[in-house]
Amino acid sequence: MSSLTVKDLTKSFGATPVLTGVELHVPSGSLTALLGPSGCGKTTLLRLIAGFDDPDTGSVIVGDRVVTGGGRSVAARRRGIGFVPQEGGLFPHLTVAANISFGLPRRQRRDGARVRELLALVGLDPSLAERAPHQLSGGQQQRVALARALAPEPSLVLLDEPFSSLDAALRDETRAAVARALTASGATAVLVTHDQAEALSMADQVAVLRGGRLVQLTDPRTLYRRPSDLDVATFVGEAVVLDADVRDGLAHCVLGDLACELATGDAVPDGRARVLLRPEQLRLAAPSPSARVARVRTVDFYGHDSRVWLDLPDGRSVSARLDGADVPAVGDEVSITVRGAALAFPVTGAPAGYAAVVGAS
Amino acid sequence: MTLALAVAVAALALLPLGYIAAYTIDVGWSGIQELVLRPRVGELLWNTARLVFGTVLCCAVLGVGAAWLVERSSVPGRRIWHVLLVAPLAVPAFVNSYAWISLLPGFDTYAGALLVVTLSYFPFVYLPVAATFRGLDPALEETARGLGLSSWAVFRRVQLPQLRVALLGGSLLVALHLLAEFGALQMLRYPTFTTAIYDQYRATFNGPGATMLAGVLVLLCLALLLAELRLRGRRGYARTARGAARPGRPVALRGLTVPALAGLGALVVLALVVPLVSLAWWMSRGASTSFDWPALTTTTGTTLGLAAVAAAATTAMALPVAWLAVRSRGRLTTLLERSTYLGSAVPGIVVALALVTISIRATPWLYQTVPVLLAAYAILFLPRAIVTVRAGVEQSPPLYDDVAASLGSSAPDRLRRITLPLLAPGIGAGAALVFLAVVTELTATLLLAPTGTTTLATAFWSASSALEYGAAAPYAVIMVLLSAPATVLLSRDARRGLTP
Repeated sequence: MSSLTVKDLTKSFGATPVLTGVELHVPSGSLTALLGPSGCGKTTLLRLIAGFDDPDTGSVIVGDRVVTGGGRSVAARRRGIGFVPQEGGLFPHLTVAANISFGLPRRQRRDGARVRELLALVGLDPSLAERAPHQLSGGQQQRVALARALAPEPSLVLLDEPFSSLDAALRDETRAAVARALTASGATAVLVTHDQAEALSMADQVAVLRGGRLVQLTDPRTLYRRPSDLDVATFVGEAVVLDADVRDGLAHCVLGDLACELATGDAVPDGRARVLLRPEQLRLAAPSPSARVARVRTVDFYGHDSRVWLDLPDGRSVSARLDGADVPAVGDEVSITVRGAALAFPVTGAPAGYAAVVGAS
Repeated sequence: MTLALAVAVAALALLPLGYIAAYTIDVGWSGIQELVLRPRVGELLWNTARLVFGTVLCCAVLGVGAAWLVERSSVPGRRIWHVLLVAPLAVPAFVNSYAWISLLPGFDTYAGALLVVTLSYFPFVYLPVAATFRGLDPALEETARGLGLSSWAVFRRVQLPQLRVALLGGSLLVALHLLAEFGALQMLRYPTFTTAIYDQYRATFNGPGATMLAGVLVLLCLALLLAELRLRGRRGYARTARGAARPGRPVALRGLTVPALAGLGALVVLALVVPLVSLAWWMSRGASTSFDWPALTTTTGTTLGLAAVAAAATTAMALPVAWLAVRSRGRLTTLLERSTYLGSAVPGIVVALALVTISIRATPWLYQTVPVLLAAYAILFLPRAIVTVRAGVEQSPPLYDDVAASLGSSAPDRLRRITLPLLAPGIGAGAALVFLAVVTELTATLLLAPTGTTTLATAFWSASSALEYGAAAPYAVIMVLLSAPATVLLSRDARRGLTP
């Protein structure tokens, strides 16, 4: 297993820049998620790492071997990088066993034991070995595609939105199986996804791409709690974003005076700022004069938790995420308190005193 | 490399057109006036036009009527009728013509020609229209009924507009085939451009008269082709609902069942039973006299061999064109693909005439050799191979190449283990289609086959031209038998829709 280092990678298609100066380091044996909206260049980055396309400038280093850079490029087939495409990409004319053993040396291709071992690694029954790809479910196809990629023991595995074509239940199950298989094989992996929950739950570190640039590379907790800007914040999870006036480390906003800090952890300079809260930071209680009072507009009940939309006295609304059975009814008056500190992003020139709510899922 | 090959293939396909164009420029305006603007050409134009018009009209009525009965009405035995209505395609038009004229020698009139070519070509309308009927969303029909429309009004106001593309497409196909038809009309002694070109060629070899007639014929074909392209550009009506269409409930015929059955029966009798019975009759007559079995065996062998080589060569030529059309879609590759379609719209008689003249002038050592004949087959039948090979290339997206490369597979290894296995069905189907087309090809073979080489079609032709109907019959029977499997495939493919 090897680490992956990407240095100053740039790629344009015609006059359209797709990637601009991307820097990335994936430690050996870890899983990094490339997270970004569609069209941000994440699949292009993956194809450059795999060697299917060549970058305009920059280098790709696997372990201590430069595979792209300095005008030279190692052919995809000599890189030892496994690839799992979006819909699995199983060869339709080959059985499951022949697909899995495709990349093995000729002598080992007949070895049924190796195929069974790989099927077991991805959590599939060995009886599937003689099936044709179209006889498998979408999730099974993805697992076979992973087994095929892992078979030649690559130094790195790339997964291009492997779960996006699966329905919700199958996606969770397949995700878990793939995570187990990657851990068991100790592979270094890069997973492309536009699903923030997938990135946060599976990855050791998350690289957020936007408009062809890498905007943040960090572990999932830091990414969620201390996103580098509000766009990242709203992209990686639901957010309550409010305009505030910061004085002496306190943000004065429609929800009261909140403790706040910068994403770097430093104290916030006085002045206008936009503050970020996560819906689960809002607590509701019976109305009391000491806290802000709001009226419950709608309740989205999910079973394990609920999202409550609240109308504030000034006509704005915010959402709160509540767990347990203690959910207010529509029309109830409740008071809002905030747990933990808000994250402040100082602004210049924006009008104060208005609240915006952005929900992203 | 691939591009160079594709360009070469397209150039070959355009060779006859280029020859006609160059010759026309060579002849000059005064020559054109003298050769084209004369009463004989007007006569041929009138003959051709009224035959094309009449045939297209009859085929449209028969095709749509039969398709509606089979796909949308409660007529008994719909699947059997479907097969029987496609089956006339297995009988080449010139064999059909022979069957009728040998039974009814007085059939060499406009009405006779109209009947024979209509019976041979109506499946070209029937097949696409039946497929469209099957694809129609029954919800539309039900909605129209719910709005109070009668069966006839539903057909006229809801179904007919949706059939427009299939109907016009099928009609153009009939017209194009008819412009290129030579054998059937020559046998019925109905003079059109193709037969006139042939007679001119026989009389004066490659005189300017034949070439200028060919020029007029090519113009007619190009006009039709242009119409077809425009039509395809504005293709169809999208079904707005998602999901699979439910099969519709057939319209009950009640008292009209017997007339409907009688109509379908009459059509099948005329289009299929008459030619087959006629063939059987002449077979028995021929068998009672002495028959040259060794000649039949050699001729069959020659035909099969020629068809196999032509199928292989044509499919090989189709590969680079189809590959580029899918993998590097662009203006140039589309142009290359279209060129092959354009080239094959040129009637066989014109292709043959062009190749005879070019080979005599440019490459005398190739004149009357198998390669020139193979080139003619390729020009005529390339689109059949390209369509199927193209579908195969579409089954093998570049993604598989990338994945195989990431697994360490080299380019030749990928070709052997991924690309070829995925292309194989398309290549096989394309080769089969070309093979079957060559087996029954008459016109180009007649002009281009090396001396002493006879195929089933030319052997049949020389026997029946000499009015030796009994001696001709066995060759026709073998051609029909060889064409039958393709016809069964055609009908089965379309029949899948009938079983929900």
